[in-house]
Amino acid sequence: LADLLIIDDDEDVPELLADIFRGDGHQVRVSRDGAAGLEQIAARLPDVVLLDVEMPILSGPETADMMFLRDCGQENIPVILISGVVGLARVAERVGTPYFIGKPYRLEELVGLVARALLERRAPHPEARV
Amino acid sequence: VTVPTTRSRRLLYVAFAAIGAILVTVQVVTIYHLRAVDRGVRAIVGDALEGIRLVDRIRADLIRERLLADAHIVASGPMATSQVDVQLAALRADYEACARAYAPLVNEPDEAAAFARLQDDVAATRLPLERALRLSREDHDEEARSELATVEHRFVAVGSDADELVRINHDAAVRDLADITRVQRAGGLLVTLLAVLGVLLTALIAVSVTRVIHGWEESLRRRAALLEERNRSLDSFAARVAHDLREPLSAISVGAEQGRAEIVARGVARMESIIASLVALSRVEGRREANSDPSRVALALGEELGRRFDHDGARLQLDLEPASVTCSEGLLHRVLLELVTGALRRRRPEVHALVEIVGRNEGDGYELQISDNGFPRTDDSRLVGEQRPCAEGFPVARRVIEAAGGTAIVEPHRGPGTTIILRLPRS
Repeated sequence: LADLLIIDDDEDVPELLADIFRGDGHQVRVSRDGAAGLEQIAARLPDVVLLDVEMPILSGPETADMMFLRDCGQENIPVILISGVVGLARVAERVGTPYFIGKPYRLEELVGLVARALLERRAPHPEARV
Repeated sequence: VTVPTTRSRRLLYVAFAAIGAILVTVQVVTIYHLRAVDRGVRAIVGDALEGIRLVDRIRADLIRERLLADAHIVASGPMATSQVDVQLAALRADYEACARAYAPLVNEPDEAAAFARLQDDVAATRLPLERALRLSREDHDEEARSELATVEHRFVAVGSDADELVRINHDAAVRDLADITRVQRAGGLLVTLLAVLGVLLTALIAVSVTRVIHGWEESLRRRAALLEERNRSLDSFAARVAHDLREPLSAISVGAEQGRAEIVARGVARMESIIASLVALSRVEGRREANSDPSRVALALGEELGRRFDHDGARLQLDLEPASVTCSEGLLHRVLLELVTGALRRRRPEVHALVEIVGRNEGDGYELQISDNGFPRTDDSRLVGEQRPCAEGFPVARRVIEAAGGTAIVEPHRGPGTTIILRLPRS
C-alpha cells in the first residue's frame, strides 16, 4: 500500500479520487495548488504524486520542476500528470514523466496507471534542462 | 485592411490600356488631319498655279489672234483666208476651254471680278480684230490697218486684267504655302508634345501601378498576418474550451462511476454554464448594434449572485459610472458572470473572497476593472504552446468584448489576486 499525494485545484474530483484510493487501502493527501503540494511533499515524501497541470500559485510543470531542483529525494518521486489541457503528451514530455492521463478518463485506467507508476517508479527526468 | 480584387485589378489594367489607346488615337488622328490639311492646301496652291497658266494661255491666244489679223493683211490674198479661219477657230476654241477651266478655280470675289473684266476686255478686243479681218478680206488693207491700230489700248486692258489675275493667284499660292508651313509646324509640335506627354503619362502610370500593387501586396501581407494571428487565437480558444469542458466531464465521469449524484450534478451545472457561454459567444460574432449600461448590468448581476456570495462568505463590491457601451446587455451580463464566478472558484480558503468591479469613462471608451483577492493566474506558456494565461471564463469574455470592438487583458500582478481590464467603445 502506498502514500499518494493528489495536487489538483478542482472542487470535487480530488476528494473523490482520495476516497477511492483510500478505499483500496492507500494513504492519500490532497492539495489545492502547487505550493501547498510542495509543502506536503516536504513534510513527507509520497510514493506517487498525481499532479494537475493548470493550477493557481504554481502550475503542475512548475511544481515538478521544483521537485527536481530541490534534489533531496523529491526528484525520485514518480509524477502522474492529470489534465484536460490540449497537448498533454507534450507537457509530459517537457516535464519528463512517462505517466500522464487526459481528462475525462475511466477510473480503472487511472487506477491502472497509478499501479504501473508504483511498480516502475520512473521519476521525471527533464532532459532538456539537465 | 484593403484587399485587392480581381475586378479592381482588371479595371486598373483597362484604364491603363484605355489611356494608352487614347494617346495613340489622338496621335493617329492628328497625323491624319495634318495630311488632309496638307493635301487640301496643296490642292489650293495647285489651283492657283493652274489659274495663272490659263490666264497666260488666254492672253497668248488673243495675241495670236492679233498676229493672225496682221498676217492676213500683209499676205493680202484669198489663198490665206481659209488657213486664217482654221487657226482663228482653234484659238477661239482654246479660249473657250480655258475660260471653262478657269471658272471653277475662282475662289475670291475680287478674283471673280477680275476674271469677268478679263472676259469683257477679251470680247471688246475681238470686235475690232474681226472688223479688221473683214476689211482685209474685202481688200481694204489701209482701213483694216487703221482698225487694227485701235486694238492696242484694248490689249493693254487685257494685259492689266491678266496681270491682276496672276497677282491674285500668286498671292493665294504664297498665302496657302505659308499656311501649309504653319500648319505643318503646329502639327509637328502637337505630335511631339503628345509623344512626350504619352511617355510622361506612361511613366506616371507605371509608377502609380507599381505603388498600387506594392500597396496591395503590403495589404495582403498584413491581412495574412492578421488571419494567422486570428487562427492562433482561435486555436488557443479551442484548446481552452476543450480544457474547460474536460474538467467537469471528468468529474461527471468519475462521479457517475462512483454513484456520486451531487458531484455529477455539479459537473453538469459547470458544463451547462460553459455551453451557455459558448452559445452566447456564437451569437456575438459580427453583432454590435446593441448597447448597454455597465453599471445597471453589474447591479443586476450583484442581485443575482447575492445569495451565492453570502453562502460563500464572499463580497461583491461595485463602483461603476453610468455609461452606454457598444455591447448588448445580455452579453455584457454573460461576460461579468463568467469573470465573477471564475474569481469565486479561485478564492483562497484562508481569506474572505472579495470581487470588485470598477467602471470608469475613459476618453471615447469605458474601462471595466474586475479584480479579486483569489489565487492569481500565472503565465506558463510552456503548457500548451501559444496558449496565453487567463482567468477562468476569460477566453469567452475576451471574444465577446473583442467582437464588440473592445479589448480585454489580464493583469495578474496588479493586486493580490487577478485583475482583468475590459475596454469598450462608448456608443
